Amino acid sequence: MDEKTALDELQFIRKIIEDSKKTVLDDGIGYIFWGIIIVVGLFTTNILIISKVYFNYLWIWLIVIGIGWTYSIISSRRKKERLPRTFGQKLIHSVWISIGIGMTLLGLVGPAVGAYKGFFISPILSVLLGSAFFISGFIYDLKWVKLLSIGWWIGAVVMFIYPGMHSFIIMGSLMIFFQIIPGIILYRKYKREAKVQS
Amino acid sequence: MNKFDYHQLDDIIHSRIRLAIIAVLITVDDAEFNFLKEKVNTTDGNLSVHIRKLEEAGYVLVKKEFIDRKPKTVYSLSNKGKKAFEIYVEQLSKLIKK
Repeated sequence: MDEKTALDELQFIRKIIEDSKKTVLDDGIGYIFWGIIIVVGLFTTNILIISKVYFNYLWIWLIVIGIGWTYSIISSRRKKERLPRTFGQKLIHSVWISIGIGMTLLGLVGPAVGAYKGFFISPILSVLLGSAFFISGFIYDLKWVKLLSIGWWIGAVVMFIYPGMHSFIIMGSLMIFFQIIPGIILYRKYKREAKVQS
Repeated sequence: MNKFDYHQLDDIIHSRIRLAIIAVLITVDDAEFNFLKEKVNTTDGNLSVHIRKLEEAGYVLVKKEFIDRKPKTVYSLSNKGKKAFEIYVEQLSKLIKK
C-alpha cells in the first residue's frame, strides 16, 4: 500500500462517518401531535374567553403541555429502540428538548408570576419555535424547514406589535401552516424512504 | 513513494464493505440491518456475509430483539472492534505522515 491508497482509504472512512453522523430520521409525528394539541388549547382558550367563562386559563395549558410531554417521553423511548442514535439524531433531540423546556417555562411560569401578560405568550413562543425550526432545518439538511422559521418570526413580530385576542388565531394558523403541515410532509418523506429501504 | 507492508493491516477490516460497516457503526450506539444497508450501499446478501465475518472476529455484536412485536436484528461495534478500527486508522495515518 502506498501513501495515495492510504489517503484514499482515510477519505473513504471520513466520508462514511460524516454521512452516517448527520443522518436524521424523523417521522414528523412529534410536530403533528404537538401542533394539534396546541391548536386545540388555543381554540379552547379562545372560545372560553369569547364565551366569558373566566377562570385561570393556565390550567388548560397545564393539561395540554402535560399531555404533550407525556407523549414526547414515551415517543422518545420508542424512537431510541427503533432508530439508530446518530449524532444528528441526538442533536435534533437535544434541540427540541431544550426549546421545549424553554417554551414550557416561558409559557407557564412567566405569566403565572405576572412577568408579562398572557397575550405575549404566543409571540414569545413563536420566536423560540422559529429558532428551533431554523436549527432543525440545518440538521435535517432541508432548506424548506429552515425557511419555516421566517414564518414564525414574522408571526411573532405581528403578535408583538398587535397583541390581543386575534393572537390566538394567528398562533393557531402558524401552528397549522408552519408545524402541522410540515410535520405531515416529513411523515410522508419518512414513510417513502422507509419503503425504499425495505 | 513509501511502500508499506500491507500485511500489517488488519485483514478483517481491510475490505471496503467491512470498513464501511465499522465506520458506520462507530457513529451510532447500534443500528439495524436496513440502516447499514443504506449507508454502506450494498446488497442484502453481501452485507450479511461481511457482517458475519465481523461477528466471527468479535468486532460486531449482534442482538436480536422484538420492537413493536416485530423481530429486529441490531448490530453494534464491540470494544475489540473499536480498538481494531482505531489501530487501522492510526496505521493509515502513520503511512501518510512518513
